[in-house]
Amino acid sequence: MLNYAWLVLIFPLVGVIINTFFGRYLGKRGAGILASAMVGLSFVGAVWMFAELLGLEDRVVTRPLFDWISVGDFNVQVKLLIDPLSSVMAVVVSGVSFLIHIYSIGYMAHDERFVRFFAYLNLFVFAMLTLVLAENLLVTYVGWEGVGLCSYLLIGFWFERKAAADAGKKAFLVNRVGDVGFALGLMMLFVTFGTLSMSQVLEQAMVVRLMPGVATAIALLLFVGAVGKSAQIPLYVWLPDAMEGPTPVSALIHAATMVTAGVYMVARTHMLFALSPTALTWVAAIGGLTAFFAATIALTQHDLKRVLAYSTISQLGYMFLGVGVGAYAAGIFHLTTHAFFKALLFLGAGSVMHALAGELDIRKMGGLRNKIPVTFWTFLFAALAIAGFPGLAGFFSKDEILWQTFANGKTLLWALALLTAGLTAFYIFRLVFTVFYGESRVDKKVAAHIHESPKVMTAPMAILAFFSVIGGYIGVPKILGGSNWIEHYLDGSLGWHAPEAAIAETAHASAGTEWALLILSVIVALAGIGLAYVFYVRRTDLPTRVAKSLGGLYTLVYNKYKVDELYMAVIVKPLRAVGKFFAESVDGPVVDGIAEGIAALVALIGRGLQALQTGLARNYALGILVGAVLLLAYALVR
Amino acid sequence: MSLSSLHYFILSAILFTIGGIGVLVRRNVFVIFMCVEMMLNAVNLSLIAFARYLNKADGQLLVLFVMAIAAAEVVVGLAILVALHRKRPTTDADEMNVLRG
Amino acid sequence: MAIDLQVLAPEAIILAFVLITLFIYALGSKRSTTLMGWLALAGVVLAGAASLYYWGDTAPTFQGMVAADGYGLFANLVFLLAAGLAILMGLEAVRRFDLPAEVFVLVLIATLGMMLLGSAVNLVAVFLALEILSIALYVLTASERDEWRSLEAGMKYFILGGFASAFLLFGIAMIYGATGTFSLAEIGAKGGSLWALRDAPLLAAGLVFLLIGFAFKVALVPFQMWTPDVYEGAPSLVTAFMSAGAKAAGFVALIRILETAFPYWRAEWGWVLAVIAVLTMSWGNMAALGQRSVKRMLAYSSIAHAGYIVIGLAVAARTGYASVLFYLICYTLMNVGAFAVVMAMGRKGEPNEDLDDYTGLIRRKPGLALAMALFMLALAGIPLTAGFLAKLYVFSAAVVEGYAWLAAVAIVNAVISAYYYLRVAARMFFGEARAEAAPVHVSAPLGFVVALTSLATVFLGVYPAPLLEFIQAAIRPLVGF
Repeated sequence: MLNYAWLVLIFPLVGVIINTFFGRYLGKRGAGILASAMVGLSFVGAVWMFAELLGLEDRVVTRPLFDWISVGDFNVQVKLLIDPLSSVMAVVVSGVSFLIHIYSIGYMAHDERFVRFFAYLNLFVFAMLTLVLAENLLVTYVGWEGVGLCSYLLIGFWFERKAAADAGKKAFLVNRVGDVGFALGLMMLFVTFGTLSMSQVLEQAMVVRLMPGVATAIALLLFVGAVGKSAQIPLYVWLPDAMEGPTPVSALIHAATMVTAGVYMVARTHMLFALSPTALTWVAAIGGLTAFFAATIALTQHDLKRVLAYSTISQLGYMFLGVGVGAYAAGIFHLTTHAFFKALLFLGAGSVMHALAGELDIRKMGGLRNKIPVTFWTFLFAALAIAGFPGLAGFFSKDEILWQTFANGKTLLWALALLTAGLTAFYIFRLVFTVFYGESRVDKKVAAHIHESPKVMTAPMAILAFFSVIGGYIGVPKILGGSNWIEHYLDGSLGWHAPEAAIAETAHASAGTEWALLILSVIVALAGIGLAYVFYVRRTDLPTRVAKSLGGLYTLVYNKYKVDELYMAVIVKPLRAVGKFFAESVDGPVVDGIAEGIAALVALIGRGLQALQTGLARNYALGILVGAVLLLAYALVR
Repeated sequence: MSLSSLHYFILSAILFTIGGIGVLVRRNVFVIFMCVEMMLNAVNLSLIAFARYLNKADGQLLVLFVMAIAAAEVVVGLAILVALHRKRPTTDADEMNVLRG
Repeated sequence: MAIDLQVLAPEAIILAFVLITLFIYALGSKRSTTLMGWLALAGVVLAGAASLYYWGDTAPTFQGMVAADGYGLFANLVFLLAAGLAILMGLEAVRRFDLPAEVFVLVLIATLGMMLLGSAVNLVAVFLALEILSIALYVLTASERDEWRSLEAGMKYFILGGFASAFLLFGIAMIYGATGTFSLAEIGAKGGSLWALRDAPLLAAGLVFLLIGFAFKVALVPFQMWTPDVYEGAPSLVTAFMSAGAKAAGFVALIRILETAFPYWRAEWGWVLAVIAVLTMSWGNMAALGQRSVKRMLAYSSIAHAGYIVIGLAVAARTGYASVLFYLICYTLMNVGAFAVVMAMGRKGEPNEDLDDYTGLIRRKPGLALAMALFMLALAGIPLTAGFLAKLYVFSAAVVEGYAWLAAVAIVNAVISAYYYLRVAARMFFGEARAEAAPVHVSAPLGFVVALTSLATVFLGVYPAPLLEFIQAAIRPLVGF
């Protein structure tokens, strides 16, 4: 299979092509099944690759596909890089995407542009897999931009709605800011190492002594790209708005195909980050802060999907915290488990919307536990997993990050992350309790039609619930009797550390401390859940009173710290003003003047030439004769 | 004075130029055809002269080809002219200027 | 001396199919037209297969007239591609524009001429091949017999073509007089002792006249004046065929002649061609700006593209020639595609070539509009299309060989050209179609041409590597290193 690794990429692309050109002949069912099957095949291939890789001694395999660009010294060979990191990622991406595809068959059943939707989804998966499997960073970049394009298309899928079209544009523009950083980082990388091939960069990073600051600059520029794509402070603002897209798209973006790209890219280029402790500290700090910051916003929102969106931002913060303290494997581990439960949470949210005719405000829900039981139970498992309930997926991965942060000596960030864990448990169970417990606050009209979603939607949810429960057992830490298998496996890709990397300190912390921290985080998680129970089931008057007593602070958080407004005031408006100034006083008279002058001159010459084109053959013959005389003169005089 | 190939070549060049000027100044399509023929035949003259001078046959061979091709060309030209004449009875090349600009 | 007929197998196949189609035409009922078209297409496909089969046989044959080397065989594929697409368009054109069935025969004859021209290693063969090609094209241009514009175009092409042929022939005669041979290789050997144009005025003048003949054929300034009129007046399928195939044939033969017979004057003809390149692309682009007829705009654009291609010749090096061959294929695809769309828009007596006819096409015929937009982007040289890489390779060859200024001029030109290409795309996407706009019908063969060319345009823009390797192998016998 490793020799046929390209098949993993090709399947979704085939789906795109078939659905684009022949989709309308397939009918809705056909198109949906085809698209799902293509991603399913891709998943099978990815699993196969993964299994085959397990049997190998040297688990870094490259497979050249073709020479893409070769101009002078600049050669780009399109190669696939299959190693522990990319194989895990490929399995997660294709697997979760596959389930979301199936779910979409039910969810989008009544949409007019059904076929187009599936073509976009396939393209999205194709772009993401390209990004994941690429050996050359330029190819990664192609996938990176492809992912950006697809997110734009899908978030704005219902472009008739202004909010959706705006959200699509916002996602595209904010990502662009990050992409500029990424592109600059790649250019600098090429200038420094003379190559964009991952393995060659790795080789050289081991031997080349870089100018101080160069590694930091490259790493930070790449990180800017990751910040944009993975929605971290300060570029996270697009993700909450991305809710305007169809819910399966949210699930896809949040779990499998888009926001994880930033984390993956940092892990992929970890050799550059490892060279620069400064850059790593930045990554950890941004990650930790984002985790906390987004979690507080999630506490206050009333829009079901918006809470989940901020939750994603927060969880991505955890992942960056993990990679930022040099625990790349822990970051990827959390990425994997998060993919399961976050996809499930979104699919659950979609199922709730499906039942309530599109309602998203949790104040208009409640008591749905018995009416849509499958959705409830699966949602509950996902919530437990993200809250860090002992034994579930999120517990192991989140705890690994917390522990590594502590062991790395970043105590402050650890405390922040621990607090965030409590907040996470609280806000997610706030959702569970307000949506599924208590009195029904559903509109009378809507209430009559509450129904469980069809099997095609609930089956993927059940599968994801299963993985949300057991997904963590690939990384059970040593003190709990496990072997932390995933970390050892990923060592094949991520095992390279610069000599001065701080990760070595891990050994100093004792098993006793680890136990203590573990118990502490369990207590925090349970406390969060318990508090949510008190607030939203027992004493439902409490939330309002707390909100009142907090007064201005609550309003500030509720309004998402007014960051959108801040950006509007500080960045967008001044830029507009500057733009206006240039447009009116510089661009108009000066630049336009010159440009128009040149354009007019060119057009004038053009008209002159047209006038020569008299339509008379003898004039044309004259042209030939004149040319002949001139050429002859040159030849004979020279 | 004996004639060298240079004399023939100069004559040929003069004939060629006359033909070329003819294409530029004449308006009757038939005359233009003849002028083109004249250019070709001017070349034929120098080809023959060169072949004689070089004592090789291939130059003369090309002349035969040229004559055949010239005949074919005129046939095509006349056919197009006939078709044109059906649409608009004229042989004035200057009236064929719908396409311009 | 044995004549190795095999070497000319592709040409022989085409000739056979010329005779077969003519025979059917002679028996001819009205229904046989379609049959002739498919037969012609079969001939083209067979000849293409034969070209691939005899790939790499380099022995010159027929008394040293033609060489079926890799270069010539590769050139065959370009011509056959253009011919195949033109015949497919012809299948629709004979019905829609009432063209006579002879177009299929004539396309085959012209293709035969192109193939011989691409393989010719002797000036006699060059002249004959060029005339076979040209005469067939005169007739093809005038083949829409009840349309004045077609006839007028044919007449102009005929007069000026004959005029230019005379120059070419005179050039051949002078070269013959100076070197005593028609063989390109022998001319190259004789001229090897020269070191300046002055030393051999007759040979130099001969080269100039020869260049004029080819510059006319491939439409280089100032020998390009016929192009807009002829391209506009000729039926679209003929224009597509001419602008792609005949232009390719001219360039292919010119490269071989210059490289085999006149390598010692590389600096001189290189410089002349560089100047001509600048004039040609600038002229084509600037005159295209003011055009309202899409077809005429494409005619001027083809002049501009000839200018870009000449850059590859002017640098007089292996990379340059390779880039020319690549450009020719890309140009064939995107240009034939564009003309296929132009043809799809037209109806008998209503060419519908004006920009206004394209307004709002996206709503009337979305597929066609998208394809046209793709061809426009490709012709403008936007990345991820074949047109971009074609330009990139030519321009980078120029930079590598020390003609950076030429590349700079070309890039400025490409920017100018984007204006008129993208205008078409913008018109199609934004703007309301006129109420009385005629319905656009795309038949299967025409749709196939558009689909094939657009897919290939994207494919070559994304993944050109195999073709480039093929081309590298093809020019090896020519440049020899």
